[in-house]
Amino acid sequence: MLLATEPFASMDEKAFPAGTPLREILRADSAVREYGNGEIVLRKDDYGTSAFLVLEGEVDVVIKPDIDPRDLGRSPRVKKNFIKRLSQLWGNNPEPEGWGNKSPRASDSIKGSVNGKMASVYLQDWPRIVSGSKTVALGEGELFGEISALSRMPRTATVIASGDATKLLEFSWEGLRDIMRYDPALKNRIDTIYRRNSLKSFLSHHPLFRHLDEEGFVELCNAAQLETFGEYNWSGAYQRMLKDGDPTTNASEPVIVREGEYSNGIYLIRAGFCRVSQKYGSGERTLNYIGAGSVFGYEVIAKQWDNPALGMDSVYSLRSIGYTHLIFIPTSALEKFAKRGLSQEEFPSSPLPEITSRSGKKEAVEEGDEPPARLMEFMAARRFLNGTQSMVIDMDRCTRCDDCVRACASTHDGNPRFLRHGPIIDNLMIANACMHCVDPVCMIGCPTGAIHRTSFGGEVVINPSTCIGCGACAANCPYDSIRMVEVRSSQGEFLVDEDFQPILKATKCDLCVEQTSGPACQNACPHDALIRTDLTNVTPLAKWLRRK
Amino acid sequence: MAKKEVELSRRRVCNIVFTSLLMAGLVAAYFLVAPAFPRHAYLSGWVLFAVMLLLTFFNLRKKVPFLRMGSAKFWLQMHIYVGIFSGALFLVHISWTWPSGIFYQIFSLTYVVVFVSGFVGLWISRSFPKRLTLAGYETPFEKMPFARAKLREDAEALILTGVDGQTAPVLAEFYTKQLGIFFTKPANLWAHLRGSRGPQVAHTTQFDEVQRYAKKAEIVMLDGLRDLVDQKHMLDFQYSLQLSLRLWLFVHIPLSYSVLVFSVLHIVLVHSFSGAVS
Repeated sequence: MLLATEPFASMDEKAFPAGTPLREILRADSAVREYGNGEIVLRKDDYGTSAFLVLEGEVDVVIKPDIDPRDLGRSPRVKKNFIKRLSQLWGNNPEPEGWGNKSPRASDSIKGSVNGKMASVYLQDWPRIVSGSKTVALGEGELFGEISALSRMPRTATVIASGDATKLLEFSWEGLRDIMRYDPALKNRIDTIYRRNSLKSFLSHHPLFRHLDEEGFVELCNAAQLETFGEYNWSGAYQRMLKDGDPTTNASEPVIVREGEYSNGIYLIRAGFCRVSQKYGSGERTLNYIGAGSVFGYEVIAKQWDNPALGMDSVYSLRSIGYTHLIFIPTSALEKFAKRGLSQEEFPSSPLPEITSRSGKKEAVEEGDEPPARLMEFMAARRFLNGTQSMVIDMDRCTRCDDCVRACASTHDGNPRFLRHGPIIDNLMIANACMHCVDPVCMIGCPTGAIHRTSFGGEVVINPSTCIGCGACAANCPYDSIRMVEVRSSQGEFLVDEDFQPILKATKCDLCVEQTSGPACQNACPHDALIRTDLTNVTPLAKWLRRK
Repeated sequence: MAKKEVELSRRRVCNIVFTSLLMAGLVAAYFLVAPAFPRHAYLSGWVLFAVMLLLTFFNLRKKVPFLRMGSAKFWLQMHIYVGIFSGALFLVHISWTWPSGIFYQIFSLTYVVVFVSGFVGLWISRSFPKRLTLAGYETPFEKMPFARAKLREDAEALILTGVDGQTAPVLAEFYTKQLGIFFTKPANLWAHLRGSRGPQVAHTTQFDEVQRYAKKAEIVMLDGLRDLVDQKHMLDFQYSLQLSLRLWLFVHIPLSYSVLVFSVLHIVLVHSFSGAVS
């Protein structure tokens, strides 16, 4: 039936190899899903690995203004006032994971909209909810969610089913990739959408190109090349690697630029991470790792602009760690469109570690102040460079008193939300606490959108009311930072569903978003042994380690 | 880098210099000004009581991490330097004379124990973590019984497996007589605390002795057992030091509250009978 509908009907089945025929791709990597009126298909800012094709009915894409996060199943995170904070002294539930009926979590307004068995969330009275928003209707044969799925970027809009029997074909990103490989029409269609919307928006904010006019952007977007390296599902591969042994080799990482090769353009990192390394003896030494927003290769070209006698060979190697999505701008396009004479603030970050001074000026780290190469290798090998709020413990100072754990429990209804345990390098432990990742793998595949980023600080939090305990986030988290717990009544009895199965909820560190004093763990450490730090840039950690 | 180190160590130097000056000022005031004010003990007493309350609040602050009361790091620094200052204040208050009377002697002794245990705790807190990190085998304290049980199970399983389908009587006897109790409970705590390698050396000697009577296949088994014994020593080392890091607080904190109770009684007594004195 699917092969008779567009766009598959127009595809040339003979263009697909015998080993992966179109029919098999659709069978293995897609599923027809039926949505009810007002059911949320996608939420803005969620992460997902699938794209959708409208088979029957219609969906509404909410453009502006966005729907209230509470209606989408996200918890309203408000800071506790003094009385509420003080009441934690006597009000915490004595039972572990005790959920009294009076718990604000249970009275959340969205609870009635969640269908746990169907793993779906409905917008109650959705015409009223979206009445003030600009929406675009997508009908049969239209595709959506493909850019986010292919580039591992967050969804850019909320999509709601607007009919009682809306049928959508959900593709996995692998299926979409395979079809694009053998069907040039679909590839061109998606490529055009990407260049017109996502790429233009990205480049127009970049200091190198923000001066361009409309025509310039069109030309630049056409010249830009989109490249991806590494394994899309890097967390699965990483977890396998951990099981097999210590992941300390960079030999398996795909090389994007090799040291000594001619630099024929610059790479803008859109998503994921890369390792910057340089030959040292008979091996390679990691100098830095860089993530989304970083530029690689600009310095060599800019220096050559200033002094044409200089060579254009790359000074460093660039490798993909996990999965990386990059935009390559060829030198010819760069010469034509890039702004020359950038100010210090506008100049793209160096691929080497930098520090930002109090005045906001970026400065190269002085010799001898660089983070130790061993630490850098460890962070990259263990993928800790993904964390924006990682819990790092200096074991030379930590007295193992567990004040941090107790403080966490005190601020979370008596339940600690992390383990003071984790991998150790030298005197540093990276504890099993949510790192609030740049690439939050845990958010991929949450059926109800219960795990989400807060709109204010960007912390990754879970709305307990909409969490159906499926465990997808806990299974996805490569760092073992999410725990599934069996919830209890305030009398200590385990809560069970109608099949007498225990009710599970996902729990993790929420960085004390409801407290006004910041992360309780860090504040509770008397020995200055614990810090929540951004490991996407290892320099602040290196500075912290040098403290006295 | 060097600049940063100077900046940060300057903070410590400032704290030490400031506290020292304060203490010197206090002692100077006692000898120079106090003779003119015979009731100065009231002032120093009340200040000492306030200081003790402030010091005790550090423990209370830990109980309310959700209130904005400053970081524990700041509180510990304050606790250390104010605690040191309290020593000078105490000496001034008792006029450099050990008190007479059973109540005041117990009270003063309790204070001294709290003061000294604070220093011991500070030394432990600064030196033991480094030793624990260097030794490796990091195990959370509450998981140590499970880790110990696992090592015992592994050791017993190794012995019960036997060699070539037959039991190894020499090894079984060696395990039962020399290692059975060692694997059952924490051992050699004091030796580990002192950093002595005596117990490890003793075990090595015992293993070497038994090895003389072992077959080739049994030697492989002995090597496995040696490995488990080494792990148990590391676990005991962790246990010994982590236990000490906890135990000193069981002296320091309850006695701190005792000092507060004694202080209140002392204040009541002093003010009840101060009319007669004046």
